[in-house]
Amino acid sequence: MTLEADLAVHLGRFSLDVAFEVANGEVLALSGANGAGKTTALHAIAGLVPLARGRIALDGEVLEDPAARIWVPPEARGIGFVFQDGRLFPHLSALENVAFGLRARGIARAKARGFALEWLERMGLAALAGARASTLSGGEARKVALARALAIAPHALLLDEPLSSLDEDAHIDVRDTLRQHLADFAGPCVLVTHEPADARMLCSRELLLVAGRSAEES
Amino acid sequence: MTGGRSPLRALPIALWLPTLAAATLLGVPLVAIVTRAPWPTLAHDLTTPEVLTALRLSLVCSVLATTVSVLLGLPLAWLLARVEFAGRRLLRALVMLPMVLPPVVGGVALLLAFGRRGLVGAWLDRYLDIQLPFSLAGAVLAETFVAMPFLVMAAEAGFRQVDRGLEDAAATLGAGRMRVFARVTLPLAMPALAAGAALCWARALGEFGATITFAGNLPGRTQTLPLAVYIALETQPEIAFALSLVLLAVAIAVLVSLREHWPAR
Repeated sequence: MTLEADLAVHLGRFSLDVAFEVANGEVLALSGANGAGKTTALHAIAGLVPLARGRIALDGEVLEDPAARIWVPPEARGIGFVFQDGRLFPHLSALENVAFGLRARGIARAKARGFALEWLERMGLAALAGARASTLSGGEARKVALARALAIAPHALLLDEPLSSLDEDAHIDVRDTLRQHLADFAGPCVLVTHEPADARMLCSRELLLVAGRSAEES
Repeated sequence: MTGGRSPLRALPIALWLPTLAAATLLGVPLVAIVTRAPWPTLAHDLTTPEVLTALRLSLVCSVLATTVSVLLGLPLAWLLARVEFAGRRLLRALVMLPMVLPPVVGGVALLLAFGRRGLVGAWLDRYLDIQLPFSLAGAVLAETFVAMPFLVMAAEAGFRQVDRGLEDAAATLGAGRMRVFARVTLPLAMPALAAGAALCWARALGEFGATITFAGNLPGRTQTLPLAVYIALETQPEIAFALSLVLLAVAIAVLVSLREHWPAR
């Protein structure tokens, strides 16, 4: 049971061409310089950028294969995504952000909110449940974004620079939270970072991207 | 404005006169409405049966025109903002055209399209027994034709400014297109949509040319406030002044409510 990703994406003059597999419970670090294609790779796996060629499969189910004309839309992939800037919905509270995916899955409002509150408690953020997302600090927003992605019980988890541009205390705090939740997460996980220290601490394997190609695997 | 110079000093002397003239040109007529309004008899003038009929009709027509504009215009605005397709620029130009078209030409165009012998009107008349000219529905149609572009333009700008990244995030959480639109795009664009609806309503309320051309001037059916003002000016100027004051007050109220959305802020 793994995430199989064979990704060929063309975006203007940039092209990404990389293939990797991530086993259940494994955390793969995607590292590389800005513009190496790390974020594009995550977006392709999530279905936000179409493949020109290649194949994405999760637990044996093919999510995308242009040659076979298979394309499962992002909302049906069951892949949790923690975006670089958190991308919390600014018009909703922290609680409503976490409940959003549960509501989208047809879970009743009261039940979704109760479940979302449990997730915020697990992040130590229950006191901020009613706070507007736009008023949260950087560290708080990252944790809410993590809770929001995990609350839908995804089959795989993608994290795009979950620790970038946080001050030192928040960085350590969010990293500890991340480490704990990644250890509990049963599915495959891909984490984009350009901090070697973060990669070592959070990931079991590292894949270095250079100009859209895999440079080395360690 | 640099170095502590007062804003007034920043204006070259040579531009003082035209600036003052422009302000006078725009301001004095509005001041005149306020000063010449029949204040002592205002309550009486505004509650005569004819005035009340025109007021009610104007409210009904403008609210209906705004409703139709929202129902038809929002999907159109979303399409213009979010979907790349051949002919998008042409469609946008078409939508904007009524904003610059003389309203009376709009009325003529509506007659040729929806009049009893018009392109569509003949068909409506023959098969559905619907005659739009000189009807309340015709007045609503005329107001919608002129006012909907304001809604579409504001809503398109509003949809454009919504971060697509947030829509992507909603999709990864399992939200289908309708849910993304209803729960993310729409609420985030809401201030712009409300501003567009207010502008649209104000334009519909003030519509004159297209309405009188296409729907005529039938008291109780198509004689809206602006038409009533025009007719009253001949016979009962006091009432025309009073109604003008009302329309001016509404316009000011709309502008004030939109102050967060004025351009160039």
